[in-house]
Amino acid sequence: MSEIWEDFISNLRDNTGQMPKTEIINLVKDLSSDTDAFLKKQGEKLALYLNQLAEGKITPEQLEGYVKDINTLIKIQALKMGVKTKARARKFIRGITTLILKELLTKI
Amino acid sequence: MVTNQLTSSKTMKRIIYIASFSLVLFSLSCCWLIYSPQYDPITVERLEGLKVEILILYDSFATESLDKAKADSILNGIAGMIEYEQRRKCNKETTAQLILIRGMLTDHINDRLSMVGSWQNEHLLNNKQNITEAIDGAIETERLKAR
Repeated sequence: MSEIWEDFISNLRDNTGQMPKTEIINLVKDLSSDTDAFLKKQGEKLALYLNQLAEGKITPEQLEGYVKDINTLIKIQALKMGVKTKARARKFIRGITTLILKELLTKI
Repeated sequence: MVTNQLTSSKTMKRIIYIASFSLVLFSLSCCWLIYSPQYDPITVERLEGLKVEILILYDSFATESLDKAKADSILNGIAGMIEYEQRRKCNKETTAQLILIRGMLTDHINDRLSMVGSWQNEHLLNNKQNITEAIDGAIETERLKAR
């Protein structure tokens, strides 16, 4: 059974038909099931924020702020964990920035 | 006699080899001690104090009153912490983390300043969780230096 946030993204009206809905859903799902406890927690938070947005409890601007916070947290964690984690963290920062900030939030 | 001289020459070479090797090891250990990050309990204490101050400030953001002077005082405190961390050797990680924490805090303060009302419960909890995780990350980094 899909979650509230999944339905919310799937049902978003996309006149251009170019919004990568599946990629956004997969990014949140991948993060939420990551083997790394820190990244998993960030994924779960992202899902919670999307649920809150779908329920009208937070605004798109507030979601944008939280995504920025998660990017900052990943950078803080990367400084803690060293170079090896840095490369992996960068991959997620790219994903979050491109898919959530540039694709999802510009079309809500 | 010749055999004895040969044996003592071999022993000498061995001693010189071991002494040189020990000297290299000693030098490497000294370099590691000088250039590796050192744990500082003052940093942990200040970060823990900062966390408490920020959480109290955020609670006030959920009310109508807005203590701008308190927010400025916390930001000034972080500037002082960054200066302190920059003076410590091999400490670029903690310095960079504090700069990131200051950025997140500034965004949260500006968010509240730009609002007409106060922070709603979800927004308060989300922001509190994120700033707590940020400061805890810096505390854990400092504690790793003690290991």
